[in-house]
Amino acid sequence: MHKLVRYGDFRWRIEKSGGMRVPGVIYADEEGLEAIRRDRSLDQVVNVAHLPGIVGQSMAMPDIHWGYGFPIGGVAAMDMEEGVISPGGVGYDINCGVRLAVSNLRREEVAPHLEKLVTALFSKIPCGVGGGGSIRLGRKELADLLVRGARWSVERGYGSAEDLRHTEEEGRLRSADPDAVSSRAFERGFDQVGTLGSGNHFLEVGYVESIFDEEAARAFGLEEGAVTVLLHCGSRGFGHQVATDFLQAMQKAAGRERISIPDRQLACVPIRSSTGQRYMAAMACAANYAWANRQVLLHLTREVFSQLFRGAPLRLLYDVSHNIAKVESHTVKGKKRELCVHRKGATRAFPPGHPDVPDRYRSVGQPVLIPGDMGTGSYVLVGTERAMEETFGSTCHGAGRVKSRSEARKKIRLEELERKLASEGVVFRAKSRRTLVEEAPDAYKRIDGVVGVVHGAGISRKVARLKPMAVVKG
Amino acid sequence: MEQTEKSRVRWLSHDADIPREVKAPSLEALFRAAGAALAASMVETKALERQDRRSVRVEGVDRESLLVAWLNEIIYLVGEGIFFPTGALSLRIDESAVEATLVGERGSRSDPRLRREVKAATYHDLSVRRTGAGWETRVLFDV
Repeated sequence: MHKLVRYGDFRWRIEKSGGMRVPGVIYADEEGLEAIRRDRSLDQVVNVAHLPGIVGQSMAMPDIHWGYGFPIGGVAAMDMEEGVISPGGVGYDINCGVRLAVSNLRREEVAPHLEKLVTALFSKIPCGVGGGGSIRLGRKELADLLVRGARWSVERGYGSAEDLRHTEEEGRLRSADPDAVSSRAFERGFDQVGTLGSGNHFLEVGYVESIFDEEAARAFGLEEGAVTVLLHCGSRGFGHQVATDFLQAMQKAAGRERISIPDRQLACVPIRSSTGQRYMAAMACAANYAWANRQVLLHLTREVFSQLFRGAPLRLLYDVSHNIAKVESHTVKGKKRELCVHRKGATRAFPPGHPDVPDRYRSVGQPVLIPGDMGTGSYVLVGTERAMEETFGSTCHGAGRVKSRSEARKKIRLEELERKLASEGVVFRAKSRRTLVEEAPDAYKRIDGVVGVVHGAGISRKVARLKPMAVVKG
Repeated sequence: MEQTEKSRVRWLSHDADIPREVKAPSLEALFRAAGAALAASMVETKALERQDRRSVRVEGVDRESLLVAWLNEIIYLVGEGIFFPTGALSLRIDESAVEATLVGERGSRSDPRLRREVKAATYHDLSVRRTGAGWETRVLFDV
């Protein structure tokens, strides 16, 4: 049992001990902490604190849960010269992320057509186990996509330049190099662009239920009652293969580099090593694949909306990644430093005035998208200066599980879940009954509690709450 | 890859992913049982015919990395619809490689018998241990 010392609202510290190079910091309220203590995620916060070159502290957001290697909800920044890069700090679904689009339609205009809408979306959006898309790429074309990311999609008619301006990194990491990617990863990427996948990935039509911050909401173009579309997915089999390839490569390389780690899933190499540089280049390819994927999925969604609602546009509000490692500039003890920030189940939350925040939002800060479970709601937050000072510009990423998948299957009855969703006014389509039960609202922490912590701690601020109306799952 | 009477696979509890505990009388049986349990969670193996074969070779630096590489090979074959194994006609493990001849059916990504996507076998808390009764491991799959 780790000793946690409270030091201010919603902040808990695990002091350095043993091989820890920095302390651990957990953002949580009392109730959340009780849930966190039930699994071994605090061990994982401590394990991450052992990594060479870690700067400041090993952090966990309030949606932290037990992952593999890093906790899910973990943030760690590494010094570019002395630090390491760890695929376990990014996850298998590289650049799993969320994008939010806003329509000019009102809730009451869409509500009578929900069945028709969700059926059309379910038919249009490839999803579920093994689901390939309608786009088939050759090797050369895929290599181009890996370099260009969402720009590749836009150049082929799946969106506009405006979409790119409202995507984190404009939908493209420039460090991508397809030569760092295995032929097996290529093979897995040929036909999965424009596919949702399965598991916790989804497409959700909702509406703005309430506004908390008028100024930010105005800048984001959010009004109460406006219909929204939230998309959650990542880099599909392509990204999984990149992560698998490099975790295996790093098992060998970590021995050569004589890096001592408390968990093999934290296998890592110096950022500046050749394996480290190759991973950064391959991970960037997977990140770009995910952005291209979400861009195509938005295009398919727009086609459905346009057909059913007489050309109603869907404006991309923003797209964020929550599984990624990126080189960013941060101020540490008064000095500007280049750091490699690992966010594994955590979201970038840059403040007002930051040059990486799009022009349209720069006066208020970066939009942060936090999906909840399929029955409850989701949040739009905004980044803050406090996040830059404390968390390397990071905040939570979602609700976080409280029930294992097997426990959810044992305890949640499908019929009961269907009744509950219907009583909440949520229409859904899912490829798999099993997935539906495993992803039921009761399997997750309450999103309001998680968001309450990051808002209360000041590492992001509530802007709006979204309420689901229709959900498509794989 | 069939589970023998003496091999046991048990579900464990983990919030996000699928962990399994596998016990078997030999290292080869352990790899077979772990592979069989994984394949059965991804595709309906009971409905499969033993009509095709596929040779597999993976490399690693120790038993744990060999197990992860072996399981990730199965994830790739099943997940991409390339081959749905029901068992292994042969399986040989040495210090740095696993070689096997899988038996089962050629598949496709649109096969309705596919049940679940698994991203990877992980090193999380992984160890392959010799016990008084044989061998055991716990392995966590990211789904």
